[in-house]
Parts: sequence; C-alpha cells; structure tokens
Amino acid sequence: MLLRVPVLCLVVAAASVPCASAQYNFHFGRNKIQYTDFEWHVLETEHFDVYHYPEMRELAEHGAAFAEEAYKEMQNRFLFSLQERTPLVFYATDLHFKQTNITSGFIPDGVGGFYEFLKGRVVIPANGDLHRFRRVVRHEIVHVFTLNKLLRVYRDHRIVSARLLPLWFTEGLAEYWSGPQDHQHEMVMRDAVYSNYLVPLENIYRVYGSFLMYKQGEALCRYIAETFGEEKLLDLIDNAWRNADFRKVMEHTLQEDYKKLSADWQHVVREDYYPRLSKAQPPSVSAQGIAVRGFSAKPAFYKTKAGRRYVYYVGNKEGYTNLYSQELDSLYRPAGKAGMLVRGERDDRFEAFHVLASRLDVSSKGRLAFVTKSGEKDVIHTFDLEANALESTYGFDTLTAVYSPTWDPEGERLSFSGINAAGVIDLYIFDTLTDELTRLTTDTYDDRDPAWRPDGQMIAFSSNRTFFGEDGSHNLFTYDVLSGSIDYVTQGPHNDFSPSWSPDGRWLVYTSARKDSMDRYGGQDIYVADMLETPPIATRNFVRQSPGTRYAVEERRLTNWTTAVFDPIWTADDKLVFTTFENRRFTVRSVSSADSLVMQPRQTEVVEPVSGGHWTYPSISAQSERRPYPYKKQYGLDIAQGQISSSAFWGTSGGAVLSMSDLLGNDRLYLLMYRAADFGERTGNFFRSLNIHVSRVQLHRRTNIGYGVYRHGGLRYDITEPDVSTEFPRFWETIVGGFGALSYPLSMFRRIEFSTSLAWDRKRIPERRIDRVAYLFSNAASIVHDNALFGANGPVDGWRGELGVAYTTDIGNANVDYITGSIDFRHYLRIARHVTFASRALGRINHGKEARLWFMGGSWDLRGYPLFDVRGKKMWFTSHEFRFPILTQPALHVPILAALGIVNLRGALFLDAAHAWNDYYRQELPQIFAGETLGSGGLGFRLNVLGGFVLRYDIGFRFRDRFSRRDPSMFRQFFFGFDF
Amino acid sequence: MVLMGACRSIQVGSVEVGEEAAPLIVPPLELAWTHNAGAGFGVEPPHIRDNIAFVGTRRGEVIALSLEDGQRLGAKQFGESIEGSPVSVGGDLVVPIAFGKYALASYSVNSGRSLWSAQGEAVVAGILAMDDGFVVADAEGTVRRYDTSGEILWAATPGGRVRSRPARAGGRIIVADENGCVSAVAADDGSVLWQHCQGRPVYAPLAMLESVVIVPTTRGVVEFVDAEKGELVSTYAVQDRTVRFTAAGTGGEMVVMGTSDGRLVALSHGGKELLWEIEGMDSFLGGPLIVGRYVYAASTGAILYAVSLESGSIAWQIKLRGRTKTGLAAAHGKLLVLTEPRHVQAFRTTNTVIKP
Repeated sequence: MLLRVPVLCLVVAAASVPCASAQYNFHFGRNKIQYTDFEWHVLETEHFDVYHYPEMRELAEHGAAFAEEAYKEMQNRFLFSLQERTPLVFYATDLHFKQTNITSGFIPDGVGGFYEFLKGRVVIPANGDLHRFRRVVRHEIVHVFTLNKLLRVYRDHRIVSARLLPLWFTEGLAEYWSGPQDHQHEMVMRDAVYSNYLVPLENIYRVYGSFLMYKQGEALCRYIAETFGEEKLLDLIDNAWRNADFRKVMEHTLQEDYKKLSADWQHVVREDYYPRLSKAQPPSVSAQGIAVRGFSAKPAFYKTKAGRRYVYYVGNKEGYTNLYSQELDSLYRPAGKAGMLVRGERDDRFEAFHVLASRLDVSSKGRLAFVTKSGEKDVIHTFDLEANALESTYGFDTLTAVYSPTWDPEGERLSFSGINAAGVIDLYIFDTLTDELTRLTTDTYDDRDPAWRPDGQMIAFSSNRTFFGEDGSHNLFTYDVLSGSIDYVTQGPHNDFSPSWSPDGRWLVYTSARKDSMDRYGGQDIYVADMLETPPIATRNFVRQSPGTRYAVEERRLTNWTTAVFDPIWTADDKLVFTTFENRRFTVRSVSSADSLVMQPRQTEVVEPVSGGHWTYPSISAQSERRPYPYKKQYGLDIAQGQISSSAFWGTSGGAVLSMSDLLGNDRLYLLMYRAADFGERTGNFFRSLNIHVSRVQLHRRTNIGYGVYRHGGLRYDITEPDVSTEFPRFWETIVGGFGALSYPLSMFRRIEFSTSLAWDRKRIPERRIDRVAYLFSNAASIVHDNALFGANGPVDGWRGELGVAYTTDIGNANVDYITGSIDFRHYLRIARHVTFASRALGRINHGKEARLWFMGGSWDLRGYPLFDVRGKKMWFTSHEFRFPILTQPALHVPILAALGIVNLRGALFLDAAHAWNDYYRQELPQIFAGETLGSGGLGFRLNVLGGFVLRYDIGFRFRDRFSRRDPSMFRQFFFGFDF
Repeated sequence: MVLMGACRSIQVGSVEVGEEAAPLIVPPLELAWTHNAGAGFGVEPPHIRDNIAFVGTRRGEVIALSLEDGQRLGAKQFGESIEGSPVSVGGDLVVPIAFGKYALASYSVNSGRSLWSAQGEAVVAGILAMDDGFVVADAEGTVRRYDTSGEILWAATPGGRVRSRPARAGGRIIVADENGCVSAVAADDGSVLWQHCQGRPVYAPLAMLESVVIVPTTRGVVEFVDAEKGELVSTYAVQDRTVRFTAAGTGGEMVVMGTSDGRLVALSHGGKELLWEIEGMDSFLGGPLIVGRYVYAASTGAILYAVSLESGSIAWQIKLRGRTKTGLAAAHGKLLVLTEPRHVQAFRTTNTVIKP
C-alpha cells in the first residue's frame, strides 16, 4: 500500500478517480447538478462586474442599478471606497441559484444570497420579487464594505489578523443598513419577546447563524445607533483592531459595560414591545391546534365524499419534509395521528417542497395540487385524495419556478404564479385537460398567491403593483378571467398576502401586516375584505391604465395575535384554518365561526382604492454603459498551502497544495506536490519520492469531467507482494500516468461515474535485483445513491449505497491483471427523533495478478483494530450501530462549550464484523489480520466541534477467529470523523 | 541637518530655514517623492515644521521626513497608535497617543530625547498648539491646557468625548464633542464660557473663519457658530442627514469642505452662501486645503483634485497610490498627501525648481 494514498486521495477524489481510500465517505454525497448551461455575460458598471445570462438581462440591469445605488449609500456610511471591482453574480431564480459552483455546499430554500470572502464574490438570485432582490443586494454590499473596511483597519494598524467581526454584528449591520425593519423582523422580535426567548447579547452564540440571530443583530445595531449614535456602528469597526475580543471593543467604543449594554438593550426591547403585545393573544391560546409538532405549514382542507375532514399540510417533523394528512373531528380537533401522504426529499420526483413559499389547494373533486422541485424545475403534482393516489405531474418548459397552484371550481384548470427564465414572476393558468398554458400577467411586478373565486370568474392575488409597491408593500388585486382586467382590492402601505375565498365567494380572507404611526409593522393578522359590493369589472382597470371608477372595499381585521399568521383558508364548516408562527415554530391551527369573527371584527376600515400607480425599478441599461460581453475564464487562487518536515529517522518530507478556479467556480485546477519520507534511505535523489498531481475538474455541465496527470514515487511496504522478502517487505515504486473521469448525476440523489487511467509503473526491489515495468490501464464504473439525512454527527435517516467495478491490466507485459468489485450499502433507520439504528454492509474484491489490497481497521470501520492494518484482496465487513443522544446541548450545562462550537454529545452501541483474505478464505496472515473473521463491540461517544469535526471515542472488546474468542483487555480508540 | 536617518529616534540639528519657498503649488502637479511610512494614518494632516514633515502613524510611530526629498530623518515609537498629528510646541514635539501606556509625550527633536510623557485617557483628536503651550482634549472629554514644559495649567470637562481638534478664538478655546455640543472655555482658566448643543456629533477638526467657528458634524450639517457668544450664525445642510463633513479648508472669506457622500462644497459669508458644489466624487474624510487660487482635496477614491476656487471647476486631478482619509498639508512648494496603504506622497508643481 502506498503510504501517501490518503493524502493524494483528497485531490484524486475531487476528480472522481477510483482510489483505495474511496472506501470511506468520499464517494458518497448528493449531487449538485448543473441542469442549465448558462451563457454567462458580464455587464460592467462603475464599481461592479455584473455576471448574468442573456435571458435575465433586464433583471441584471435592475440589479446593477441597485448595486450602484447601494454603493453610493454605503460609501457614505462607511466613509470608504472600494478599490477593486466587486463581482456580482446574479441568477434569475432560486432554482438557478442552487446550481452555483461558487460554493460547493447545497443552498437550501430561503437563502437570499451570499458574499464569498475569498474572491469577494456576491451571489444573489432575484426570484421574482425585485424589492427583495434590491434589499438583498444592499445587504450583501454592506458585507462587502464591512469586510474591506475591517481589513483596511487591520492593515492601517499593521495587525496581522484573520479575526472577523462577530456574525451577529455583521449580519445585524447588513440588515439594519439594507432598509427599514420589515414585517419579518417584527414577527421574530415580537415572538422572541412574547415567548421569552430573547437571547442576551452575551449568549447570542447560542443562536449562531439562525434567523433569530440575524434579526436580534439588526435590533442590536438599531439600539446602538439610536442610543449611542449611528456613528458608533462604524466606530466599532474602526476600533476592532484594539482587541481580539469584540466585547472589549464594544466596551471601549460605547463606554458601557458589555453585560449592562445587553441588559439595557433587552429592557428597551421589552419596553418597546410589551405595550404592543398587551392586547394581543398568542395563537396557541386563541386557536385550536391541528399540527403543532415540528414544522407545519401551508394547510389545505378537504371533506371527503364519505364526510371525513382532512387538513393537508407540508411538515417537517424529523428531518425530511413531507406532505401530511391529518384527519379532524367535527370540532377540528386532530383525530388520530397525522399520516404521510407524500414522502419528500428522498427521490427525484419530490426533491424539495417550497415549504414557506408555495400553498396547496384541493379541488371540489378532491384533487390536491402541490408543487415540488423535481430536477431542474418546479412541477405541479395532483393527488387524488379519494383514491389516495398520485395522479399527474405537470412541468412547464417556459417556467423555472412555480408557486401556489389554485383550482378553478370545476377542478380542471390551475392558476399559479411562475417564474420564467428571465426571472419574471407572473400569473398563469394551466388547463389540465388540454395542457394549455396561458400567461395572465406580463410585467415585472411580484404577482403571487392566486386564489380562484368559487364562481370561477375571478382570481384574487397578491402583488406589489400598487402605489406603495416600490417600498415593498403588497396589496390584493383581482384578475377577471374573462376580460383580463386587474383591479385593486386593498390599497395601502401593507403586506397583504395569501388571499383565499369564503365558500360563498363574498369574503376574501387574507393576512396583512400593517405599519403603525411610527412606521413600524405590527403583527401579521387575518383580515377579510367584503367583495359583495364590487362594481362591474369593466369599469375598473389597473394594468391598462384606463381611468378607473372608485369603489369602496370594507376590510375587517379578525385577529390580534402576538406574531404572525399565514395562509388562511375558509372551510365549508365555517372554520378558518391557517399557519401560525409562535415560539419559533410554525404550526397549523384553526378557529371556529368565521362568520362570527367577520361580524365582530377587531377593526374595520373602508378603503377606496385609486386606480393607477404604475412605477418601475431603476435600471442601468446595458446599452448606455459598455455593452455586456461574454464571460471569459480567468483563474484565481483558492488555496495555497505548504508544509515540510524533517527528521533523522524519517527523512525529509513535505509538499504543497495549490488550487485555482475561475470566477464562477466551474473550472478548477489542482496542483499537489508531495515528497514522501524516505525512512532514512539516503538515496540522494530528490525526485525518487516526489509525488506530483495535476488535475482539472470542470463542473459547468451536468456531466462533471476531470482529468490530469500524476507521478507517484516512493518506498512501499506490502507484505503480500510476492517478490519481496517476508522479513523486509519493502520496494520502490514509481507510477507516471494520466487519468480521466466523469460523473453524471441521474438526479440529486444518484449518479454514475466512469474513470480511466493509463500509467507507466516501475517496481524495483534492490535486494533481489528485480526491476519490473508495467503499463497499467485501468477502467472503472460505479453507481452511487445517497439520500441520507445528516445530523450533527453523521447520517440519521435514509440510505446510501455504492456499487462499482473496475479492471486493471498491464497492456505492455501482462505483469498486472486484476478486476475489482465493490459494494457498500448503508441504511439508517430512524427509531425516534434522536435515535437511529444504522447498518452497513460492505464487500470488496481485487482479483488477479498483482491485485492491490483493500484495507480496514480504525474508528471508521472495524473498530478496535489499528488504522488500516486489516488488509486483503477480498473482504467483507458489516457494522451495526444504535445511535442515541446523551446531551443534545452540552453547552446548557457547560456554557463555554457553545463558544467552542461543541454541540450534540451522542452515544453509539456498536457491533462490527469483518473478514479479509487473499487467495483462500481461511489462509491466515496474522501480520495483516487476514484469514479470520474479526469483530468488535462496545460503546462509542461522539462530540461535534465547530460544526465540522466530530470527535470519536470508542471503548469495547475485540473478537477473533469467528467471534470464538475475545481479547482479554478492552480497547480504547480515539479518532475523528463523521459516523458512517 | 539630518543626523540619523531611519533609526528609532528623531534627532535634528539646528534648522536653517533659509528663504521661505513661495507657495508655488499650482496645478498641474507632479509627484516629487513617495515614502513608505509603515502603517496607515488618521484624519489629521501631517505637521510641518521648517523643512520637515512629522507624520504620526496608526502603528504609533512618528516619522520625520525631509520635505525636500522625502528622506526619512528619523522615527520614534509613541504608544500603539496615533490618530491626531504631532505638533511643535516651543521647539519640541508633542505627540497625541490614541492607544498605549501614555496619552501624551513630548520629544526634543534637537536632542533626540524624550522630555516627558503623561498618562491618562487616550487622545484621539489633534492638539491645539499655542504660543506658550498647547491644549489637548482627550477621549473622555477633558480639556487640559499645558505649558511648554508639560505642566497642566488647568483642566475642564465641558462636554462629552472629543475626537475633534479644538480651535482657538482669541481668549477662548472651542471644543466640540461626540454628543454634538460645542463649548467655549476660557484660555486662561478653563472656565466654561458658553455651550451650544445641537446634538450633531463632531468628529472632524474645527476651523476658524475670523470670529466664527466652523463645526463640521456627522449629521449632514455644518454649523457656523459665533465664537464670542456661542450663537449659531448659520448652517449649511444637505438633505441626507447621514452625511459627514470634513474639516474646513479656509482662505479669505471662503470655506471649502468635503463630504462623505462625495461632494466638495465652497461657501462664503460665514456659510450663508453656496458658491459652488461638485458632486459625484468618492467620499472625503480629510479636510481640503486652500493654496492660492486652488483648493486641493484627496478622496477615498484615491484621487487628488485641484479645483479652481473661483469657478469650482476641476483644474487637475491625479490617481493616488491609495485611498486618502487624511487632511492635506503644504509648505515649501510641496503638497503632502497621506495615502493608503501607508505612503506619504509629496507633489510639486510641474517643472518647478524648488529653491534650497
């Protein structure tokens, strides 16, 4: 075995080349698929390079204007100018954004964008709502200025420091300076105050990276600005050099004790919110719970032909997001346990639900319509609730993202909002009988949440096509299906969302968050609009800008709840079913007697909408500036790292890794140079143990391609090598070759891989004067599946598997000729929320002339045996673990652990068994533990540190010879790494 | 003249000033020399005495440079950071220290010896030099008057923390603080004579225009305050109240200021009349400097501008080595600009022969 293999595989694995150490986790993982071959162009503005594709040019022009607008403001706020042009990479939709290679991680729903520090890249999807896009652009540009300003401060003071400002501050500042507090901010802060989980500043690490931390950070920055002066926010950055501890920096800058500052802030927040909440009630008191466990949202209601009532919702109770059904009794209390209607996030068809963005709807005939991401695009599924069967799946060539389908009264047509390749969101109607797609709106306004009126003539929806839309407000509108005219329902600086009709079509029920006299949003409550008095549609037209007739709409506020309510629906039983946010949790609840609530509203307001209100976002025309030009790759450094060591016994070893990639992260170059230790051999030949690996990986297509050349050289130790002496099994080997590999993702969860390599291999055994040369030609293929769900220490649910074959031969002299087969299957059975039973079965074979050895041993597989010391050309291995929690939050007991990022202490009862052999199953080679069935059992402890490292400590007994005997002493093994 | 160059002390012999070079700083300018000061700079312009520029750095060093050729005459460490600028008092150098063991230090550049140092609150603002001593306002807001030997003559705390260099108006010392209060204390005994509070923090140095003190605030407003009575004479405001004004450059009746949103503004008649305004530049942090018929200003966009005082048109501009956040200084035909990352750049009029 080559001693250098584990090091090399870090690079080799990146190119998907089969490698001995690939028996570990390198070959698993889900696939980030490049469905779309974007034709990238660059639009240059004064301070930015805007990367976009031609389909979304108009959006890019808006984004460019937003960026320049933010630059101007941030330059003033930071007293700073950027000396380098900042790359802005825009995507039209979230689904395109998820394909980015600028970060290798998966991007979940809800991520508005990110700023990547290494190359200063800002990456943002527009996703329909240009106001939100504008705000995210500002948010990220605050980050750009913050980081550059901070680095400038360090350099001015000649401080060599990599320390960054705390996340609560940088994110809080970005939120605070990107615009006024929005309704989501109010929702979170009101809930934090009411539910009493406002996190003191000194403990804010406990919510590190959470939405709560962002919003508390925003509130803290606002408090600092309002109490000490806006200037102090910048002073905090200017003074960051004074102390590595930001608490000290705050104390110096604000001249206030840190804990007192925290206490004062909490007091001010509570003093501010308590009066606002004094008359508000929590939904948990005022409303009946339907689905209150885990995350539950987007309810839809259906009463079956048999008269049974069901609420359907999207929920996440144990990790995967699924579609659930919950039967209700006549009082809308849950009758029995919720059933899983559709299992999500495990296969290609239901890859992901848009849990906070897309509503469900049930037709009068019992057809449930819902949206999932399925490959490149969103699709609408219909499910026959009477037959309990999935019916159809509808995808649309022209649409990338689809949200909130709603049925017409006949249950044949669906209306929904969709985002096209240009990133523009509009309303559509799809006829399921004729497969005809009709676009209803054609502009850049954010049209969403359509709801078909029971008589089928009108579709209500939420849009920012209002006088107040430029500031982010949304009002309700109606679309007349026959005439195509659009009319106001509500009007004002509100956020009116999620309209839904009462069964008789008179009332439009919706949610609204409204600003008070202090220009602050309150809670998001349920409202209804009386639609009875609607005048003839023809007289009111908004889109076509014809003079409209004023008419009055009476709005009634039905609730006054502490935080926020979403997606109300009015059922035939006169109940309202909706989602609420309370105590950091989304739950589905109901209230009775919708009619009574409407008749006794908390507040009534008559609105007389004024037609008109057309406005546009600013834009930097690509025609007026330098014309966009096609993107041309330029490589920039990602990683450069070197290391060298020298000892009298081991000799000198060392190496360097160099990684470069283009701006979009699509094309990556790797250079690895490593000189292995000679173990005291004074060869006088530096190059003899020199390893070089140069590879290129291209990720811009769906098929990932890698190729490269390598030279591996050095001393090898191999007890099974037939030509070496048993006492001293060492020899020199040099391999020079090239490889090519490709990986084709069949879906997010499955891929096939192929690789080939050709190498010149020279083996020398000086003691026996053997000098053998082979021309190794190797081909491999494998299929990999992985839908495992990860917890803090490893997979907790799902399964992953790999099946591979390979053939290696010497095309020159037939010195080497062997086949490879491998299978690795891992299954995770989630018994309870924090308890998993994990099983693994593995088989490996290398068979033929000069077949290489597989290896095992160590904490990652066969525990109790030395790392990699169990070897054989063939082996099987099985492992079973009962994984259970010990302390999910050890920091609650020892607070300092949280600051160190130590979370989730877990235990594992394990039982391992394996057998490695060469030619004969029972032929024993004690030096490599071959020829006998080995095993171990015991107890392990796992501790996650800093989110990325898992410390492992196992104790147990080793078993030998088919478990017939047990080693007398216990083994203790400490290592690191995620569970299998 | 220079005895020890580039060593860890500054020692200068008796200086032969000779004929004062006429202020021949007329655009176009050319780069005369550049010196790497080793660290960044605060907002205060460098101090020039005779033919030597003294530059304080954010690493706590004061560097003496020959104006002639930029040669380092010496350097001395004072604490860990200097934000204000050293000043000459009675032939010696007094250094404000923003971070370190001491808050003030005095140094003889003739003998190369430290004279005294004083502990206390850090001094972020510049020092106001007077004939018979100097005045310092520290980060806690205490104003102290010292004599030339470093003895405290009086101390007063008229307001909050001070980051802005005080100004002198006859027998008054004018101090502005972070809370937006402008105070006048008697130069003789430190008694508070008047206070004018508008709640607009002051970070940039004060300046005087005859009997009017120019108060550049961080809230989009410049206040012109009668130094004798403390009454607001006039204000100049921009719409955006987050805009900060730089220290004022004054010349004749004119006042020129930069803003953080990238404007240069020229006012006259005590700020009552806007003469001209240039927009669309990068942020200005350091104050502009009026020399002859031009005002010079350097931006965070790393551009040095020469603007005609009369017309407000940009007469000349040049790209600098880096951003500038420090006020400008000029003497002996040299315009000194402190730029990022850590350079002192001297400009002179093109083809001008500087007399020795």
